[in-house]
Amino acid sequence: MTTGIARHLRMLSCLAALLVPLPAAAIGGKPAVDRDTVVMAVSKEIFNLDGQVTASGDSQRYGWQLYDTLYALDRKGDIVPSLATGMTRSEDGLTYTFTLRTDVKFHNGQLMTAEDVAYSMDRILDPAVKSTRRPAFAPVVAKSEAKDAKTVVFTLKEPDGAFLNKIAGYLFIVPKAYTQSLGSPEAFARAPVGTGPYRFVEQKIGQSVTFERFDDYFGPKAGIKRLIMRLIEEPSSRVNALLTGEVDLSDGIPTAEIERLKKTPGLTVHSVPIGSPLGVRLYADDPSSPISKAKVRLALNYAIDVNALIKNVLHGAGAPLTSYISSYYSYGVNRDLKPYGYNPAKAKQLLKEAGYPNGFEISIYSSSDWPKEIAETLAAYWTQVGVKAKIQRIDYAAWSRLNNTHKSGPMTLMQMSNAIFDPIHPVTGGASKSGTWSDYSNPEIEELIIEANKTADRSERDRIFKRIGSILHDDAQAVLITEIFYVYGADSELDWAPQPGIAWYDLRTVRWK
Amino acid sequence: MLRYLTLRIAQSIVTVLLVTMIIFVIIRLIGDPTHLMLPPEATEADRELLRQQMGLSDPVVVQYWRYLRQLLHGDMGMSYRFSLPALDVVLARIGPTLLLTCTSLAIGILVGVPLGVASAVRPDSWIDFLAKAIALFGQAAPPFFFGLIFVLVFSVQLGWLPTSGYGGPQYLIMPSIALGWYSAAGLMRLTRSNMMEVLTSEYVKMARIKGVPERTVVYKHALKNAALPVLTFASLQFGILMGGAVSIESVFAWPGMGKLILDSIANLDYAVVQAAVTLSALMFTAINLAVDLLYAYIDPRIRYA
Repeated sequence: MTTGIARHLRMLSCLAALLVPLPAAAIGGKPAVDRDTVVMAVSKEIFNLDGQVTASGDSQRYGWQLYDTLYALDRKGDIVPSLATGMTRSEDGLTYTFTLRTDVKFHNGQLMTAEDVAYSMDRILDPAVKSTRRPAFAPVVAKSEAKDAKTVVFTLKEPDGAFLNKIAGYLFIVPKAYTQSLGSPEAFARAPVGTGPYRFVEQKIGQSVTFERFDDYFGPKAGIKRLIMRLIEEPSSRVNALLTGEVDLSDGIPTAEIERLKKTPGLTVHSVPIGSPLGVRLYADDPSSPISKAKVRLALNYAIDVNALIKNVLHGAGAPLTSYISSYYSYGVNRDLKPYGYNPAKAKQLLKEAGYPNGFEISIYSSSDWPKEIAETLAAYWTQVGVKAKIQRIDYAAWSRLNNTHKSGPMTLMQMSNAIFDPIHPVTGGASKSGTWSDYSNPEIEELIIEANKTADRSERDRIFKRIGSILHDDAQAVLITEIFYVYGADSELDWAPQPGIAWYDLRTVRWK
Repeated sequence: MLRYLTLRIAQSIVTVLLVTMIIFVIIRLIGDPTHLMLPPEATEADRELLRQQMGLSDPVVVQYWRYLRQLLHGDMGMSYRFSLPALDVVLARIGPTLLLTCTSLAIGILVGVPLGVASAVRPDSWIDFLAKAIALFGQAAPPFFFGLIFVLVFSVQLGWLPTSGYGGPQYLIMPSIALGWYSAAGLMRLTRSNMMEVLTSEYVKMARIKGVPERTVVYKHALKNAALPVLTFASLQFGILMGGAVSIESVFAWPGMGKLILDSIANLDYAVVQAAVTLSALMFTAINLAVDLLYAYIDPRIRYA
């Protein structure tokens, strides 16, 4: 985005913050509108309100307020019944039968039936809808059918161990009759209807989206009558709006502001891991490149003082990683693994053993989405062991095209977030030979992925991913930097806690104390 | 006159066409939106399907031709991010942008011109000093700097005005002053120097000798003649302000066109970029055309220039 401007603004706002230390307006229980309303400042625009289509994860964040899924993710990342009361899986893992609640109403008053659920899956699979969820389901789902009013059966082409997670993360249920009555697939985005605790009221492009409590909601009712998500893209402007009490809650607080906001009376800062690793993608499959050697990759890891980077660059909002499998998932995390730790002597030794006693020259991409200090810090540490990394900083859009087509080599800063809470997502995406974001291939990992895809049992998956994590760790598939944390600022009178482990917002229970 | 009119209109149409063509090609060179539209697990086949649905797999010439044909029917394509017609998205943003730009320009003129006159009439007086200080600050720092300072002082410290947003007049005050200041500074300096020059000219001296009241000398004789370049400058300011509005829109979360274009480029929302640039091009050429025709009408010599 407007990175140049944004950077100047941030610098200036820090400077200005020194000049103007205290806000005059009272915060802490003085709501932006009234105590029936919560106004949240969001950093990224909410574009398309069709939850099955919305192009980016950033603008999906309204989704949990408006829609429900058959199974949902709870605060611990466990999968719990929501619109479904139960589920049976056939022995061969190819048939999933869901029993549905019978008391669920859509926002337009219609009762939800199995027809709606089957239709919701078919709609995602229909290419004309251009669903961004299609790539998750199309390769595995053979058919979906409504057996009776409260039974839905999904038949798979091949077993998919993460299918239930995908159901929980991706399959928003929409009403069949209403959706079909609209003129085009796009029309749904203008008047979306779901079963969630809030219903859609109004969208002002470039400004805000307003929701109101859905009184016929089948589950616990929303704690407030109205929820407004207000777009404020500039980080310092979000902080200012929070300081003056114009918004009750804000996402994307710059880490440099955490300390100041913590000291502001009436404000609370929530810093929560979102189960998303930030690392350096290594193009390890090029045999002529030094990073094709495991020892070099390990050396690059040992050369970095991750804790110092987290403390000084990210102002504490981070945590070391042991593999791309975030330690904030509820399963599949190998807790026996330890972060590499800072050991420049060992790094030098490893480089020597690998045949690079004097280091080498290499370059690293960083998109404009990341503070430039991250890549600079890495380069500075690597210089200490003889590796000279040239930083190439480019715009996010240009970078994502390179990164998605395996052209961001030999190294690039990269983060993966996860909407389904299962480690398969970062593993296949970032560490398998067919991964969009992977240039690493390891036959052992490939076999384990096949096994994971066949296995739906939770403890079995746990075991498989622990093994994968350990292999990736030992082979230094990536340079591991940090867990990504989301930082929120909130009025301290607001009763709300962000959902850890996922980049989505759960405002279902937000209320004033 | 008719020949000139036809020529200028034809020129304008060609300009707009060229602009649409250039932006059409450039935005496609920046990147392929299917990478931003689909999740990482999407295969190349998924992307190709989407490209075909969006008509992106055709040669650019074919795509452009299709775009022009649709444009004639008032169809500017769909925004993939909003699932709305691109035209609707752009129209929702044009109003706020024009409001901000016009208010800023008005502030620029209403502050800059009288200050310029006053300081030219009384050089080295306190008002001259004040005007120079205002001009110095206005030109020394970019508008968003004042925007930020305003927010910290008037919103965070004093709690008088909202920090950001769009709505009633209270939302307009800080962004339009922050942006208008820049124009006011330029207009003040230009007015001042023009007035100084005119005030020492022979006909002003003559008017004074004849005993014409000073007020009339300044406002009727001098300002009228000093105003022409100022007017030209003011009309140019419109474009400059629209460009400068981008950073102000950022600071104040103002839902304007500048930010829309930037964000749409970053997100490769082709249809919106094209619609926004086409409409801006139309707007600017229309303004230019109107100004040129007006000049030609006032001063016949211009037609042959």
